[in-house]
Amino acid sequence: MAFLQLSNIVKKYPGTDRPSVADFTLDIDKGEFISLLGPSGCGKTTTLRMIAGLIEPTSGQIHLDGGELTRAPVHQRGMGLVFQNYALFPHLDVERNVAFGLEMRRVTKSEARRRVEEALDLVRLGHLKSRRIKQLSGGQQQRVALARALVIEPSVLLLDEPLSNLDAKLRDTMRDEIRAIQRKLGITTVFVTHDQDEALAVSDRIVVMSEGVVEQVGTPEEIYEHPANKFVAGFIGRANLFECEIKRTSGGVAELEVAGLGPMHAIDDHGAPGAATVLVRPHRLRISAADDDAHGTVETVVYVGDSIEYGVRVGDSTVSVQSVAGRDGRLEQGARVRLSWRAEDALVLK
Amino acid sequence: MTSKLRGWPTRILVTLLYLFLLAPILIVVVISFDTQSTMAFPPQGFSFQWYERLAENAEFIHGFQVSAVVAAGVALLALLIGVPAAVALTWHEFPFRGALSGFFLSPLMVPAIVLGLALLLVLAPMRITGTYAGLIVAHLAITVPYVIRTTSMSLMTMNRSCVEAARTLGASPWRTFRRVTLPLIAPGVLAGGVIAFLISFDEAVISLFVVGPQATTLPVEIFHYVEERTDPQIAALSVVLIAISIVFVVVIERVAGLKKVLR
Amino acid sequence: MTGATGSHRLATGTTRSNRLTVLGLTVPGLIGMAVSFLLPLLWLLRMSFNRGDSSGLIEETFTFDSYLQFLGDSYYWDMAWETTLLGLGVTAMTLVVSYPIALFLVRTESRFKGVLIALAVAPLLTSSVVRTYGWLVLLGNQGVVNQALLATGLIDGPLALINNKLGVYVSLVEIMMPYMILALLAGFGRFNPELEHAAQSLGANRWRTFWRIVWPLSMPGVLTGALLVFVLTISSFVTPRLVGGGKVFYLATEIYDQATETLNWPFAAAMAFILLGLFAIVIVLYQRALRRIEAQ
Repeated sequence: MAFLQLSNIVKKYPGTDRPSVADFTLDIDKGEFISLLGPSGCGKTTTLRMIAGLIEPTSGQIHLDGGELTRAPVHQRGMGLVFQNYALFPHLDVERNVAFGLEMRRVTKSEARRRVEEALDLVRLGHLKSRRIKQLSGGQQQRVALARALVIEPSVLLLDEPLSNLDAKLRDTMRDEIRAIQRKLGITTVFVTHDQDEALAVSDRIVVMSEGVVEQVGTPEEIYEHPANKFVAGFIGRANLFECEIKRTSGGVAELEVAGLGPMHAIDDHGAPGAATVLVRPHRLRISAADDDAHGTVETVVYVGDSIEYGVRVGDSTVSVQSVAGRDGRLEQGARVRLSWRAEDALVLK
Repeated sequence: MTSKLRGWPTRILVTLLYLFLLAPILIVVVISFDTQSTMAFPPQGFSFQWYERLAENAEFIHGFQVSAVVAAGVALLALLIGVPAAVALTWHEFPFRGALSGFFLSPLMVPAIVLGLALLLVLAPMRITGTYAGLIVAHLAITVPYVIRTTSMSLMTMNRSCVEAARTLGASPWRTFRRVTLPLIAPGVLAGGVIAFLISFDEAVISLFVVGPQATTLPVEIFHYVEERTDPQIAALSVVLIAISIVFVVVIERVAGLKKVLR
Repeated sequence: MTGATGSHRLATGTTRSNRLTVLGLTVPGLIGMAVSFLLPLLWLLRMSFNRGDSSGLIEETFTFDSYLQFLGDSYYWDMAWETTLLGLGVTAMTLVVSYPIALFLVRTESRFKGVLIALAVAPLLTSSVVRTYGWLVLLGNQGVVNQALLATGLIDGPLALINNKLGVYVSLVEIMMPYMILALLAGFGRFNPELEHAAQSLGANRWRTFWRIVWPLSMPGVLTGALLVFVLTISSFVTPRLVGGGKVFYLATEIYDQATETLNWPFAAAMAFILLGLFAIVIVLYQRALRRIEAQ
């Protein structure tokens, strides 16, 4: 049985037509690192807050380790929540902030001191324990928030966009650090983010959400390589989506007639002929100079070091192509080009 | 052009207006040290005799005690009922929230003379006019709005996530309030308490209706004194009160910033 | 998405626990306000429909006698008119003397700005009884003003500055000034001295700059201050009573006399509601004016 179970969770605010979270079901195993990923307003934070108990679900159940806690009071859930804006107590110093949860649990002073020290060492802030919160940088505040959530030895660690207020470089360091700490402690973690790179980098599984609905649940590879639909394909990584007509499918490979490109092949798990969309990632597209049988014209050329990115005009739309610099040669703006891909690099979406 | 705007004519005008504004306070300070017993000008000499008389005036001393006790009671009670109401009005969404907020602020829109009369009619039959309890009840409605206003301001600017963080860390709602919310909104709460104290301490009109022989507040004592006599003892008393006010102003300014609070 | 900023309201208005919380938080306040505000006012309203007379007897009944007595007597009509006039006059004069101070405080870059603001507002923290006493000293026959005028030989005998309307007007204007200054300062919030410079660089003279730029921008503050001062003035009691020396009559002083000396509570109650009615009219007018200005 799963460690944390969310069953048919719905949250609908009075006076709104569409639920903020619609029928959310997910089983999370002990020690798993789950990301809730989606654009703002997709219901990921609402879901997280329902797990924490800060929002009461309209219907559905939440079970933790076999016990139901759907309507258990927040302070009895024993979950560690790290907020986007850190939410550190400005009137307490670093040590008292971290010790707060232990005080509430009436842990003895000496025990508390030991655990606070451990937690601060874990986030490498042991030397700053008597600082005021205002004297800390954003990254340091984030570490204190993490230590404060971890020191109570929570059953589940909940992270609400913890990295979004940090600058880009620090964000990557903190991301890896959070993942390392999570692995070390083996703590079940739910991580809310709108940043697909973050989600791909740290998660055991990703839940992609949109407008309150779960679009896909899967490992980072599954989500990236086999997106369930156009939304997921477009949201995770860069994607070229072509309208196409499926002629025939055999052995999991479909013969397609792609608008503007002509006959192509792609992986197809559905196996039904008719109108469909085919996904090809920019770096999987091949581009070559052509004359008579050209598909389109190079509109933009951007050199980014490792690769060259082309924008190719095909009919009314622009196709992105990422080509490895120095390998495929270089095309100039205005060049007439042909596009192609290998069947295993393209995926038919319904 | 800028220099013209701040030129001498402007300066003289503003100085004169300031003089007008502060004239009654200044004159009170001057004549409190006078030697003559009528409120005449110019002063005839310098002495502390009126301050000495003041120290012997049993009515004023008693009035001061009554006012201080009532004001402290009013401030405490206003905080006890005003702070929770401010939390509900600022943080919670519920039906008729706007109407309730209007109701809590409405006493400021009712003239003191009307409220004083109304309180007299209710408190007199209950025989609690002229008691501490009666005076505290009478001053409550006009002070609660200020407590709600200052507290709400602090609540609005406070980081709400801190409350949620405390809850997830295992603090019950009450402990969260005591350990996190209250320390963070302390400036607003304190300012509200100080304002409630000052308003109650200075209140004269409502008190005029509900005081009695056992408990008469200082402003009422002063009012009746001025009605009959006008010797500089009142001036000396006024100076003492002004000094106390200044102390309070400094406290509010230090704690919350005067401008924010008075708006 | 909620929770991104942490400033949202708890939007769980339908849940039972939230309702109980709200109830628990507001009930003490509601009880306090009911006892010290709502019930007394309702009681007062009921009292105004009783019948009373100058002997202090009150007959429990339901009649409009008190209101009719007020409305049928030109003496009281005059008093209501004098009260309104006092309100309008004091409001206008307070505005005239407060505006330059407020404008100065907004514009000044002096290091003493904070002190000057505190000084302008400080009188609020002194009991109005004390400040009224100060005015008695200033305006009395042997007061500063008369003594100064006599010394310069401008007058032969002391002018009557107290125990009349003039004294009441002058002292009320001073007592209301801090309120007006505060309201004006708040209203000037979006005033930027650069606007004046811009107007003048476009060729407007100072007079036109003031009326076209500064005055319209200060309008919300002016209105708020005017409402506040009017309302406080027509309900003021201490100053008209002490400076007026019992010789000047307004609604507020009359209510007090009827309640404490004549002991005609029903009539005092009726007059209190007539005063409240005057309030209501002013507030409605104020809101209309405010809406007109905001629409512009």
